[in-house]
Amino acid sequence: MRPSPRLRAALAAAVIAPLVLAATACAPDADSTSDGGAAGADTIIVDSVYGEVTVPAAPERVAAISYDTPWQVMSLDLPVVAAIDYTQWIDGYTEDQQAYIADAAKVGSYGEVNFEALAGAAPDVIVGDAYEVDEATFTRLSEIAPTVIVGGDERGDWQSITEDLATALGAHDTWEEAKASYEARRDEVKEQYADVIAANTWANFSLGNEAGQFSIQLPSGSTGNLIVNEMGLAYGDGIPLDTDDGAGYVSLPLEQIGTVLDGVTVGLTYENPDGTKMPAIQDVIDSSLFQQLEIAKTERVYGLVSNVTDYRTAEEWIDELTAKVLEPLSQ
Amino acid sequence: MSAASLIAVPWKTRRRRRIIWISSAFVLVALAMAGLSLGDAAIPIPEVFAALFGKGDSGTRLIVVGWRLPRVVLGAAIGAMLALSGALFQVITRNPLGSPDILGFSAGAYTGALLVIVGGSVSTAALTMGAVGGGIASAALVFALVAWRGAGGTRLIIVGIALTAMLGAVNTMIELAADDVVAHTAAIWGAGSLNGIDGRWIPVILVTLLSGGLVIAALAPGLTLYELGEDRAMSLGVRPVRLRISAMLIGVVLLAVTIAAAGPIAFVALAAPQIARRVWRSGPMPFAASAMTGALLLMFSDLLAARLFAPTMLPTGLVTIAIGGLYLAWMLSGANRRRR
Repeated sequence: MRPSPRLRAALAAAVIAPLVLAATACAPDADSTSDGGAAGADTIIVDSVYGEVTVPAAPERVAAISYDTPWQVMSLDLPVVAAIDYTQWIDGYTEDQQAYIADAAKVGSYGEVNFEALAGAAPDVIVGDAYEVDEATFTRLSEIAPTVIVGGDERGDWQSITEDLATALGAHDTWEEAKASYEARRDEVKEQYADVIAANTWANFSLGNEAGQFSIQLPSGSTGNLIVNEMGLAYGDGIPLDTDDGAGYVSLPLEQIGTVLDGVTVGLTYENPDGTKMPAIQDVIDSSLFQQLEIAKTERVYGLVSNVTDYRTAEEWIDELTAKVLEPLSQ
Repeated sequence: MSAASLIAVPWKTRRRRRIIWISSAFVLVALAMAGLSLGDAAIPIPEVFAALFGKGDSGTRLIVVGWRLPRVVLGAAIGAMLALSGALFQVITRNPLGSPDILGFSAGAYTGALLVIVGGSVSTAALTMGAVGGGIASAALVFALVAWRGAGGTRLIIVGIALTAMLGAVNTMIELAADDVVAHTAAIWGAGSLNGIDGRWIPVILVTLLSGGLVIAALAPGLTLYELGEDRAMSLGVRPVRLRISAMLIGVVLLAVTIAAAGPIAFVALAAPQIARRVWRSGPMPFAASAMTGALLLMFSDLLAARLFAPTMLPTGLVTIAIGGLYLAWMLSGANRRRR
């Protein structure tokens, strides 16, 4: 894939100057102090997984290099100037999300950052999460611009991850608003549909790591956290609630699907904005073992579009759950 | 008969080789300049030179000296080390397929390094020790399995292929058992890539290459006689067991250190010695020419990996596999043509 003409033009125009800025951005800030976290009028000091970092107080050119990070920055009402290439997953994102990253420079693929392309985007701050950025990569990123790597205790800790990002990007007020809005909506829906929630047993399944497998979102995963911990939707007894590998989901052989989803009355999964499902998810649903489950026979399998990465998308997920699942089931 | 008498070559061939050496040096310099100049930020050659001599702006110096120079230097050195390792194993197995990729040593070194990563360490010393340990253990296992009937020939290759398959399964199990961050790191590293490689590896790689090269130079006369056959080499004063063990140890160390630095980069060890043999028209294994060919192959592959689908960067190992696959197909089809 070649860079777009626009990107090439931007790179050509920005061969040296942004790189000078980038190279000097990581140098100790002459204005900075270590006085109680305030570094100066234009900069602040924030905590990150790899130590304290001095960042601009009001960054204007944010590069988001981890898979979930652009959407988390989007929830803070900030634009991104660079992100990884989402071409192969783009069908899974909404029009708003696609428009949000349309003008962002593509700076590598999942797990393989193109440092030169990133430098060419001239970010004034780089953000990412510790699940994808190791310390060696962080060191090289810091040569380009101040880099804040965040990470919670679990893969699905979007609450604390987005709070750290908001702090680093000077958008804590926006984060607070999104959080308050989400919590109000969550509590409203939980109260309004308490009977439906209590009367059913739930599961969130998806494709597995390989053919012949399926996966279950754990409460430590992004969506699993929302389902089990936030919304209080009770998982079926056969569903493993935790594993030690930190992935946030567990992939299991399809032959175990009867045991794992035994007693589950509502199955949730993912679907694309156009209503189609990823072929690998459709394969799971079409399998004869799945078709023998109660959720298949009662046609209580629902695909939701929203990818939960932050308070905004979590609220969208709840809205979608309400419209597609809770409201019809309450009739 | 001495090694010197075996490698005496006619004047025309010597002249041809001289021309090839000079051409190769030019290509090496051209690839190095391309590696230093081409990128998402294209930097003109004069500015590249200015940066190399500490002049120019800091941004250009960061890219040229901090990022691209280690990649170019390490690409050339790692390519040379892989080729030397492959050349050693092809001599001691007396088989053009006797490459560490196929004999299971690469998979063993990868297993060792993988265990170190899963254990929580990514330090240069720990990765090197893990890869060298895994490589030597797998080499010892392969040679032990075939020892009672001699270590040469097809049997060694078949045992190596079996070990490669088994270790591949072990490596997959380790990756699946690791947490997703470690597994992801290991998977990317496992494809073999020079993207993001940093200068801390330069001393380790260059010292290993220099030491290995000196030892190979010392072993070369014996290895040349060994290629004639074990019995004949013995009658000419070569001690084959000692020679084999020395060559194997050097080959494994050269290979394992490259794996620790950049992950397992496939096919350079297999293809470079054979390409060098054909291009330089050499009867005995041409170690220096193999090293040069390996360096050129890897630098070219890395340039393709970085620029072919820019800004998306392919792991270098994927490009070498593609080139190596074509080479293997060409080699096998050539062998079939000769049989007809």
